[in-house]
Amino acid sequence: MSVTTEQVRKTLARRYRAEKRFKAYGICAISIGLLALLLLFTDIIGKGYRAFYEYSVALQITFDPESLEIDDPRDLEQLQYGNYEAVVREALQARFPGVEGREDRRALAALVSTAAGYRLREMLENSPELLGQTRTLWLQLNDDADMFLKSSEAKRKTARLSDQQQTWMLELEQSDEVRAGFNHSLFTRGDSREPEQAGILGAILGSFFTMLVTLALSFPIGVAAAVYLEEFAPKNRFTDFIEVNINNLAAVPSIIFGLLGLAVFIGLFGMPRSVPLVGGLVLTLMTLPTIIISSRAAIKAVPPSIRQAAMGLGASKMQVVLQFVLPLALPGMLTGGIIGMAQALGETAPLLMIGMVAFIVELPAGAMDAATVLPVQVFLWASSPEQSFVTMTSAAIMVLMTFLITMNTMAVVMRKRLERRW
Amino acid sequence: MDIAEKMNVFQDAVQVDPRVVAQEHMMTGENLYIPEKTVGAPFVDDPKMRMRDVNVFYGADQAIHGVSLDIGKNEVVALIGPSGCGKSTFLRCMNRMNDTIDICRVEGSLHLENQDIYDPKLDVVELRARVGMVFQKPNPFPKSIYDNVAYGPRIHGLANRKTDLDEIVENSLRKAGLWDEVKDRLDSAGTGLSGGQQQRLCIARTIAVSPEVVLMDEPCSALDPIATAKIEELIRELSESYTIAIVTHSMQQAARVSQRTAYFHLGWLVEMNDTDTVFTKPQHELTESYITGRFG
Repeated sequence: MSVTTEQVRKTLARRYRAEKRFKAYGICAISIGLLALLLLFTDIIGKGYRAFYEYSVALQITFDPESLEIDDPRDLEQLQYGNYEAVVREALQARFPGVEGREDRRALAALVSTAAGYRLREMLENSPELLGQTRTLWLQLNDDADMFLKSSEAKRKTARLSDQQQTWMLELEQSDEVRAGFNHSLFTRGDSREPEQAGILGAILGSFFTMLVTLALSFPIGVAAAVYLEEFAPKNRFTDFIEVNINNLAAVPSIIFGLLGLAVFIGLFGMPRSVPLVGGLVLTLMTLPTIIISSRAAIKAVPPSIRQAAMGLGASKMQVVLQFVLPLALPGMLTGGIIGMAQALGETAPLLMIGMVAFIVELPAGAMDAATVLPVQVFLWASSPEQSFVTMTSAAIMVLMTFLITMNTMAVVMRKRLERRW
Repeated sequence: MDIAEKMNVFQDAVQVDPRVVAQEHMMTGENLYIPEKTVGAPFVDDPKMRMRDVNVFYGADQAIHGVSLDIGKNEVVALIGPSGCGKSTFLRCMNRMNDTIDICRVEGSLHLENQDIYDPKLDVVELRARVGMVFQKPNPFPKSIYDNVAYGPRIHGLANRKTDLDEIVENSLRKAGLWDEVKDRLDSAGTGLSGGQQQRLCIARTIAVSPEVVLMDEPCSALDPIATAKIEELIRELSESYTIAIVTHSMQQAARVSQRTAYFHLGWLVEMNDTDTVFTKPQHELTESYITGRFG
């Protein structure tokens, strides 16, 4: 056995040990990451899944003209001022006949959501012949009653219902007069002060319009800037200066962009507050550096041999860029664009500055309507005191995460599918 | 002579005469100087391309030193020499591919027939349509075989009808000896061919625009011997209709395909002559050292 072999054998065990150690560090790091992710998801899902269903109660509703104070259901004005709550109240009293006294009756009426009244009005508007008839209807419960039913035995004692209300709810539950169903209002309504009536559609639409503005502006501008800087700009101090500053821009805290938007777009140009257009403009400024940097990297990755081949055939600079560089760099650019968009979708701070944090009930119909966005909605609900809003917050986070994960998956899939080999 | 004195001499040499540095780089230890004037016969009557006193600089470094040579009509000229001798740089001056390198500066006169190649009024697109180029590494476009060949004619508007274009593509592929191998799969990707086929596709793509001169920058260096033999055969056939300048590392290849050979050394053109003369009776010691394999 030669000296070298002997020496190699001696060090071999040590080398393998070092390799194993190195692997163990890596596995450790990944496990910590996965654990954090798991913790996050179990926490959010554990808190939030309850917001996706809601309880309603079966009540014998009599559309009594006297109680409703409506004699002609085709008269819109009468419909508008109808006393629907009285009908609901009467139905509840009919179900629990022994309840006497103002306080108790009020406590009983509080079990059903005010949304029940809106529903009755809607029914009467659609089918006026209901007036004077009696129907068994499933009506939405108030958020506290809803939470009580959703809670476990142990937690019910701490519920925000009085002992008397709890007795009523238990009675309804035992006689199967309450049932759980999908929470439609979560996905069909805007924000509300009443948790059982609040939804995230307003925030989803607000996010959608904001993203639309951001995408329409930042992708073309970012790609054009990247193409110019990579392909056409002369290499001198000025372009070096621009390059350094694009990187600086990427490092600017996002709230600064919000202040800029407030000062320039709202203060100087007089654009309205709280609108997705301004939000989109601000987020465009924020995502531009990300898109420029990733697009430049994608352009740089186009093999020089392809450019040379095209130029050698007499293609002009423009033709080389449009016919070869852009198509080959597009997957990388799109990936950067989607990641930039995902970043913008999750951004809260700059939007607070331009007033997208307002309480807005109406669904926005366009980029010029006041709106809020998903992460800001999360922020708003998280700072609300109602117990139900805690679960709603987690539900909104789940929806936001679903969008973000979908976008990131799209970026990965797109890169895999469009990537060409040469 | 003490060490300080020696250093001075050496530094003077660096500053005054780069050719002495050239000699310092040589591995042979022989006292070989690059000649003041190119040895042999670099000029021909009625040339296709005429280059005089060409200097090329990359920033402050000079890559080509006063090279003058002619390339005759329908002849194959081989440019040989050790790595880094400037032969590729010189080749790329002939269709201004060096324009894309910002720090590159070209001096001297280069003419394609009566056209000054570096005339600021000359459109480089027009020049490159007349002087085509084949590169070291096969670089087909990530498009179909048909589109690869049709690209040049399309951008220059050489074919107005589909049938004309089909004809150009077929002729070019036939001339490149690739037609029989790919005629059934013109729609498949050009990048899916073998290395040798890809290089022939690149040649077909270059001749599809009917250039007058074809520049080849080590076209076989990435290919196996059989593919190389095919390309060499192709070069001989193409020389009937085109003027060809080929840079090669292989002296055998230069001997097989070219009529005249130019030997470059560290940016100087040392010797240029008929290929037979260069390889059998080299007139300069440097050339002889190189072709006998003493350095390279």
